[in-house]
Amino acid sequence: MDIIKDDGALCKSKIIVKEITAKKKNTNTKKTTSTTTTTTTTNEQQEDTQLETIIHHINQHPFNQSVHVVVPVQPDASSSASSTTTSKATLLSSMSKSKSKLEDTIATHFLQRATSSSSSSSSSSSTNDLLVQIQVSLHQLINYQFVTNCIVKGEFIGLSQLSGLDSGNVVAFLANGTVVLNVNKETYEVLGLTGKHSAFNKGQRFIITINLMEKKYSTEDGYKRLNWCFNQRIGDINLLCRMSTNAFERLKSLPHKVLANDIDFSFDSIHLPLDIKDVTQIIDKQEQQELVMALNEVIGTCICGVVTPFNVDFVLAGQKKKSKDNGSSESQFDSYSFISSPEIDNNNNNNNNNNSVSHSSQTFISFKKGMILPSEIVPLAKECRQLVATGSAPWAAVHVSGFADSPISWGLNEHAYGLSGENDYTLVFQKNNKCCLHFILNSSDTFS
Amino acid sequence: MSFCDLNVPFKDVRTTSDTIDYLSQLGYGVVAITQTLRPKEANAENVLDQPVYSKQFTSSGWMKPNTNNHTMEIYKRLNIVIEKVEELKDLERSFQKKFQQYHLISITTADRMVMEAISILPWVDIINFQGNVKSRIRTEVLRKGYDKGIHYEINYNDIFKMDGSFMANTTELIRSSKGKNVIISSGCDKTRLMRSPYDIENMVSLLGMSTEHARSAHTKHAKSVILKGLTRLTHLGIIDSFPHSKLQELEKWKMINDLATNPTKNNIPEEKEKEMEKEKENQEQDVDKMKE
Repeated sequence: MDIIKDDGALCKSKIIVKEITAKKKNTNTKKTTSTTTTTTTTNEQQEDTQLETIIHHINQHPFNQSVHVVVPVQPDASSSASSTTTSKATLLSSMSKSKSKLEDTIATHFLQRATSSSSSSSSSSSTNDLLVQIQVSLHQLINYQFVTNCIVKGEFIGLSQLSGLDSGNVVAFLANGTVVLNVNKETYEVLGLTGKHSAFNKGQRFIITINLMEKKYSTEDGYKRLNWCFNQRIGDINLLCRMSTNAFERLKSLPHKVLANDIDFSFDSIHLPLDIKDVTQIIDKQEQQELVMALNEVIGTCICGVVTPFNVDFVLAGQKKKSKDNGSSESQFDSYSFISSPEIDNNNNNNNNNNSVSHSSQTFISFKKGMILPSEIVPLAKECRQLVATGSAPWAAVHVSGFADSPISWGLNEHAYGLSGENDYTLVFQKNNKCCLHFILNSSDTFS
Repeated sequence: MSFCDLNVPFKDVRTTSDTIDYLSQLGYGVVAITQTLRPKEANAENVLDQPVYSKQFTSSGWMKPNTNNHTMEIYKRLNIVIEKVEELKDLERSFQKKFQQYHLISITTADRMVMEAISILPWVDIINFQGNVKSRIRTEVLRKGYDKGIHYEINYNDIFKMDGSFMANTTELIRSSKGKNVIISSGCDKTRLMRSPYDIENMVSLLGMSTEHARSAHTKHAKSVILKGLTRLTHLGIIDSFPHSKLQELEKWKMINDLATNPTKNNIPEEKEKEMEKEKENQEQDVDKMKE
């Protein structure tokens, strides 16, 4: 794992890059008559391990605010060969195939907005379809019936809203029955539950983790104590939840508001390069850092919807640009970053120059905002991986951003809000089954 | 710890409630409304008795201990402006009745001699120096204030003054105090001059204060000032009494219940209980012997 830091003047954040390789599994393969089947089985096993690690990392990050998918639309090989005599019709036909494939595969995940809100009554109780904001006191959620019927079955997950992680008190309900509280000193002294000091604000903030499935809380005395602390000592909380209809029926009487995830997709005219250099193969650390930062900046601008009227050349393929004078080496431009020094080059569309990078004329950008579960992100990652593997997309990126005020980031690692509260990650799928995971963290996070 | 702004001047009920709502949007959770008086105005009315409400929810108002009130905490502050050392003579006697009506007491001066004299007084919570600093502030003077629990205030609204005294005063105070017992507040009643706590931290860190001290300046230190002010309303800081009606919603468990005093409903102490049990056993043995 390489740690790449970006120490700005006031905002400190880190980007950790992890290459997810396909490891060989030591399994006893059955003897077969043909040799091709054995190779396919070993390749499949390698791909399975890669998928497993991807799914493992996605599932460890439960609270996600939004997910974005960025895929450049690739033209066919026949059109790229004839660069000088490209006509609009051939380009459009080549683009339409890859575009239609994207519409058939990934875009279907972003068309469920109309169906999800209307099918709240007909959906099954196992899926957490409803996004609800409720005002509730905590003792109503640790009720024995609610815990056994809803929380343990994974039908309820919630995070507190309208309260800051550095100024107020925050609570999170996880799907496995744990409750994580991040409270300040005053509430900790009044609440009466045991916890431990925060790793970043020692003496000022405390963390309390409660596993509702423990024997301690199944007894009368344990449960009474917990109930009394939540009922008599502290006030109510505003929770943003993903729950099933079964859980919603039990909480209908409370003041609530049913919301819906914001979903959309589009094909924007952003010209991204079709080739990206492999980050792990770069030896120079500074060069590696610059490339990773540039890649994340590019994905960020696509997500923010920054579309320039000119064709901005994103130098991500590892080619050093020369000046227009074609002079000495002193005038070469070696940087990868584009925000600090963007170059406006109108001639790159024709791909006449040998040193130029081939670009896509369109990119597929989609988003889902609200509270997104890991089970909704896994199929997106699988689809993107398959698109790149089959060659219908040159590369693909899935960017997931977490809540800034969540008390945990990955697993049960503590997350704090110092100068910022980032806990995001991006999955970058490239050719030859290469996958890179970029963790974007702030300085106050125990995961790093 | 919630962010605090301990200097919001009082104008009208409506305007102050609007400013408090604006501060809650910026991220503050605790506010102190100030009334400024001169030494001769000891008999003036307490303007802050009028109820000032806040309607907006704060980022630190949820899951609060003992209350379901999600709005700002509002405290009352008395600010006395002193120009000469001679005015300190009968100040305590004339304002003694007033001290019980306010949570916080502060003094603003432009004279260094006054500041050195005030740092010894036990009934002062906050000192605000607004004169031009022509020479260095001695740390010995500040240490006397630390012993009494006094905090020194910076009003970030003074940056808009044309004197140029804000930069000199703050840099000198930060240098001599090293961030200890320093609080930051707005000191302005106009919403367009107010800033969020994160912006103020950035500004103060440019003037020489570390990020930790900048964060504690309007969280930890401000909270300690409030606690010091509340102890002045108690009896020697040891005992405090108030009627049941002043208890908050979730504090009613503090009222004396039978369960709290007699959980077992057994008023007999342990030693006597053991003696009684022994007597019972002896009596039973005697009865058995008699039967035999």
